[in-house]
Order: sequence, then C-alpha cells, then structure tokens
Amino acid sequence: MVQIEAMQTRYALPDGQDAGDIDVYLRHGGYEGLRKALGMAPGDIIQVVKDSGLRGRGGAGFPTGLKWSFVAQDTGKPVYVVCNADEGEPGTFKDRPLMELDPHSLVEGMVVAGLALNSAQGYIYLRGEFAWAGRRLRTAVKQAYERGLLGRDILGSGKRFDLTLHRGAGAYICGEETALLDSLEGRRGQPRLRPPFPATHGLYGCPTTVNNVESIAAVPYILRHGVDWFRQWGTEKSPGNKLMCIAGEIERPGNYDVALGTTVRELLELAGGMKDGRQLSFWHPGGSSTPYLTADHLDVPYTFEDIQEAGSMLGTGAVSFFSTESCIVDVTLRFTEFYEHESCGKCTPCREGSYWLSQVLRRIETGSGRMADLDLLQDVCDNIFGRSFCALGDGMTSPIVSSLRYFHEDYELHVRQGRCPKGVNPPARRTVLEPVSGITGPYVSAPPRLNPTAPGQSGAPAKAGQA
Amino acid sequence: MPLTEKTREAAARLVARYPLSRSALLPLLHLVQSDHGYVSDEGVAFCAEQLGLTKAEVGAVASFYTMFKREPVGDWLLSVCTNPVCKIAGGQEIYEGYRQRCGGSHRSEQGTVTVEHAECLGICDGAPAVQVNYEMYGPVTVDDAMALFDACAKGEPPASTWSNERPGTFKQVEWDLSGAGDGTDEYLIAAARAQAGAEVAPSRRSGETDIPVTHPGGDPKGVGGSLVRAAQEGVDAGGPSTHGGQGADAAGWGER
Repeated sequence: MVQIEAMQTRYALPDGQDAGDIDVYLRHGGYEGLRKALGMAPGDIIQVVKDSGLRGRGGAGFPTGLKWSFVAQDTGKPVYVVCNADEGEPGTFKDRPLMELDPHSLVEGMVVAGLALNSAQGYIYLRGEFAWAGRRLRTAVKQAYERGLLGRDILGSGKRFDLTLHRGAGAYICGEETALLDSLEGRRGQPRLRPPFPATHGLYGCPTTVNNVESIAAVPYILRHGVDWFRQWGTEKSPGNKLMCIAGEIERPGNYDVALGTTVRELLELAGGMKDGRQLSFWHPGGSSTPYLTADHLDVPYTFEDIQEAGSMLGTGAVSFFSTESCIVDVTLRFTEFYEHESCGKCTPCREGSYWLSQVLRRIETGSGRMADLDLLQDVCDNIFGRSFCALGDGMTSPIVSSLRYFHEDYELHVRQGRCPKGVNPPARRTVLEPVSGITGPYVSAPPRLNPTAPGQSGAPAKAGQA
Repeated sequence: MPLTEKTREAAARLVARYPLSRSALLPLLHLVQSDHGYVSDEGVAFCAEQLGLTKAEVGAVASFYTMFKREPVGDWLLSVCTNPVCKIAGGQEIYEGYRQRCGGSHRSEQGTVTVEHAECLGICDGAPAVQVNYEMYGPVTVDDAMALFDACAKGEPPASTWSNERPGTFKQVEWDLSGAGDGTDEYLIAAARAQAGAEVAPSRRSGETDIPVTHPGGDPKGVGGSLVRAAQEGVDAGGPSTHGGQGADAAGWGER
C-alpha cells in the first residue's frame, strides 16, 4: 500500500509539540543536516543532491542539484539563494502548511543551500496573503539567529549566511522565477527574457538560484538520512516523496505525503474517495496549469514521466478531483478568468488571449455560443502557446485544450441547447464599477467613498443604479 | 495626512536591509498601508522620496499588486475565494451574500468591513475559504461566513480556524506584512553592507548588465564595490552604519 511516512511525521509530533519551536525541532534531529553540510565542501553537497535525484517541486521538475551546479561561481559577485514561497497555483496548498507547521526545515534548507552555493544571503519570497506562515517564519528566523544558526559565523564555522523574509503583495505571476526576481528588486513582477538565466544574471545581476519551498526543505533531510533513504521512495527518474494537495469534490481533502509512483487511484482512496458517492469526471494532476485527465487515467503512477506520458504534467502535485456534477465549461471558465486576472500584461498573446478566451468561454457557458467558437478557442490557444516570455500563457491553454479534447461533446451540448446542461449560471463579470449616488452616466467611476478624516459621512453604500 | 514618525523610522530600517534600496519598495508600500490604511498619494510620494524614484515608478508598482489598495479599506478586509474548488463548495454564494450585505457595493454600511473577491488563496483543503485580513477561515458554510461578516462588523472576529489566532485590524496586519516588526534588522543591515563590498557589487539594472554601480544598504551616496570595501577596512566589516532613508536628493539614485 501507500507509504505515507517520511516528512509527514514532522507534522504530527507527540504531545502536541510544536515543530515551530526551535527546541522541539532540535530535539527531533533538526539542524543535523546543517551540521553535516558545514563539514562538507560545497561541491560535495551539490553532488549529494544530484545523486538523490531530487527534482524541483515547484512545477517544472528540473533536477535541483543540476540547477545548483549551473550557478556561476567565478564572477566575483555575491551569489543569492532565493526561495520561491509565492504559492498561488489554483489547487496548490503544500508550501503554506509546510511553512506554517515546520518553518525551521525551510530555514535549515536555506542555510544548506547557501553553503552549497557559496552564498551569504538568502531571500524567502513569501506570498503576502500567507499571514500566519509569515509570522511562523519570522519567529523561526529570529530563533535561528539567536542560536547562531544564521548570521556571520554559523555555529562557529566562520561561514556566513543571512536570511531575509520578504513578503509579496498578491500577484500569481511572481511565482515565475524571473518575475519573482523583478518583484524582489521592487519592480512590477514581470518575467524577464532568457538568456541570460538567473544562474548567471539573477537578483541584482548576480548569480542566483530560485528554488521551491518543498525542494529546499527536502535537502537537509537528504543530507541527514542519505541518498538511499530518499531513493527508497519513488522511481528511478522521480525519486523521493511528494507533498500532495488533494482537493475538490472528495471526502477528505488535505495534504498527503506519499511516495512518487503511487497511482492516482490510490491517492483518491487515500482522500476518502469522491464526496457523497459522486462520480469522477475529470481531474488535474498538478494545478490548473496542467491539462485535465479523466477517470480513464486513474491508474497512472504519479511520477513526472508517467503523467507526462498520459498527456499532462506533474506540476506542483496539486490534484483536484471534479465530479460529473460540475460543468467542465464552467470550471474551465473560472480557471481562465483566473489567468486573465493574473496575466502580468507583458506579452500580448497572453494578455489579450486570456481576455478573449474568457469572453468566448462565458458566451458558451451562458448559452450564446456558436459551434465555430470551439474551433476559435483552439485557434486562440494555439496562438498563445509558446508565444509568451513565461509559462503562464502556456498554462492557461492547458485546461481549455484538454477539455476540448476530452469533453468536446459537452461543449457541443452547450451550444446546441443554448444553455448549460447542468444549469450552472456563472456570476456576472466581476469588474463592475460602483455607482456614486446622485450621479448617473456610463463613465462615472467611484472615487474613494471612505474618508478617513470624516468617518461615516460618505460611507453609505450607493444603491442607486445597481441593475 | 503626513506619515507618522514611527513609519519614517521603520522605513529607514527597511531600506537599509537591502543591498539595493529599491528592493524595499514592496515592504514600504505595506508600511504605508499600515499607517494610512491604503496606499495614499502621500504614501506614494513618501516611497518615492525614500528610494529616489519618481512617483510614477512607485505608482506603477503599487497598481500592479492586488494587496496594495488605492482606496481606503475598512478595518476588516474579507477576501472570498471563488476559484473552482471553492466555488463548487459554495464560495460564490458567500461572495454574493457579502455583496448583498453591503448593499451591492464592497463596503459595509459603517465602512468598517470591506469585501473583495480573491483568486486562489491556497487553502483548497479548507474550501470554501474566507480570509479576514489574510487570516484563514475554512471550510465555512454560508451561515458561518455571514456570522463572520457580522462579527467583523462588530469589530470582534473569531479566532482563525487554521492558526487559532484572532486577526488584527488591517493596519496592524499590514505592519506585520511590511516586515518592520521582524526583529532581525541589525543582522540584515550588516549583511547588506557586506554584500556591497563584494568584488563586483550587486548592480542596479536587473539581469541585464554587469554595471558595478549600486546604492548599497540604502547608502544615499550610491557607491559600492571597492569604495565600500575601503571604507570597511579597519571598521567592523559587518557593522550597521548610519545611513538609509534620507537620500531623496542623492544624485544617481534614479533609474538611469
């Protein structure tokens, strides 16, 4: 059966002890990976990570050790380690619990990464909305400084590593590594043209590596327990365990720590099966940017290579299951509106394409679609895919193209019946200007209605003109 | 309304934490929100002054991020996720219910509660989810969610179902988000100074050039590399120094 061990034990300490407390963390073997790393040459640490076969957990699945080995070391510039904690992919919720419940493993991982890359400065770019995770990390970083695990002289080794917690401000695109770097530099988070890659020209034009929270947090465990320990799970090409975010219309949504290679059917069983005995219709294997798969694909082992073979991507490990009661067009429309909102606007295909895709999808869902719209959707997607700086544009086409492929009949049914067969009425578009009472006309936007100096005077909601 | 002395003092520390001062822009904007409750025009001017940017540059950044509000927000900001997983579980109904509660607008009658639609909040295991000032609640029923609204309107939100902590007001939470209360400033300021002394210092232009020009650690003189190293010789290599914040007029701080 499924191996649910490894890192999950961190979350379930006996007696309700809190792994966020450094004493508890140290008692359970915390910072042992760091002590090991202090006695190793940087190249050796990278070699261990390479041997472990750890693949990036943020979506692309690039081998972490290999990524680290690309970081330029001979430029005379400082090297930066950046942790991408800007988790925002719909369906994904693995980094947030990790940081909330086990913040020290991330801090430890950052120091180890710093030692491996000869870096003296790390940044954790945390999604702003994760207020609690921020408070937990803040405490963890402070405790680590007080114990000499961070700072100018780590545990008396003479090595230096400082860690800055930097909170974002609500932009999904900042999960893209070059957009994250721009955001960290205090700019609009827009992706950069590559090359040059961050490994040579990253933060402040210096060699930089950007890694996902889960990847970084796994490294101290690999150092502590060894490569074989990590490789006991998973397959040759996808070793190790993976934090899974299982959600949707199921009985027990939540985080599950499983070995890669577990079949999706087992994952679904683990999560208690479909809710109220509903019937599975479709699911996405790694967040909304990965193409949907259907009930026919349930026996696919959950590995990078097998999911790819099935026509999708492993992504972030966020599996959301949807039942036959959900309308595929409606779900796809919501995802597309998400991308429309989050597109940074740098590349025309993504910026304009997302807008038009959601218009067309909305038209189909509300019953005024035409048969030609189905080809139009495909056509627009083809013109977005591969034509943007980053993967956001590609990601937005995934749900549409895959739903057209597997659920073409559902789309046709919408058009033929002139309504949603499942009776889903999408809400009106959200961008509605609030009218100011007393003034009418189509182009009046609402000025700030709350006057901080005179509370209550202008705070009454305007009801006039609300259609 | 001018910004308080506390904000100015915190801003100086935030700027000094980064090898390049502009990196402090997002924290500074959070800081402005902790003072004014939104990114006010004075706040934009303040950030521009602190970092040697134009107001347009600051405004461009502030308008990009959804957490920066250009209009006043009440004490309690309710964010409702309506992405598919939450929507199917009832998030859309909650959002519509809140809008109704607000008479079709996004603010409660007294103006203390602001409602917003949010994209995926990363809490799909607690769908449908609502955040009060970025503190998580979920799964909530429609009734729970409405009770949450009423509690906020009274100024007494319950403890979060996740962190088990009660959220502070919007301004208090924004203070946390700015990082001004992190308590590690002395280390980070020292670190920023140390990086400025690298053989080739961090450069101002992102990812494009090797220009060894910088304004390290909020140094208004805008020097880095050898100059900083020379200054540090004999001095404590990592010690915080007197700098930061006040360099509005410093030449060479701007983008080009």
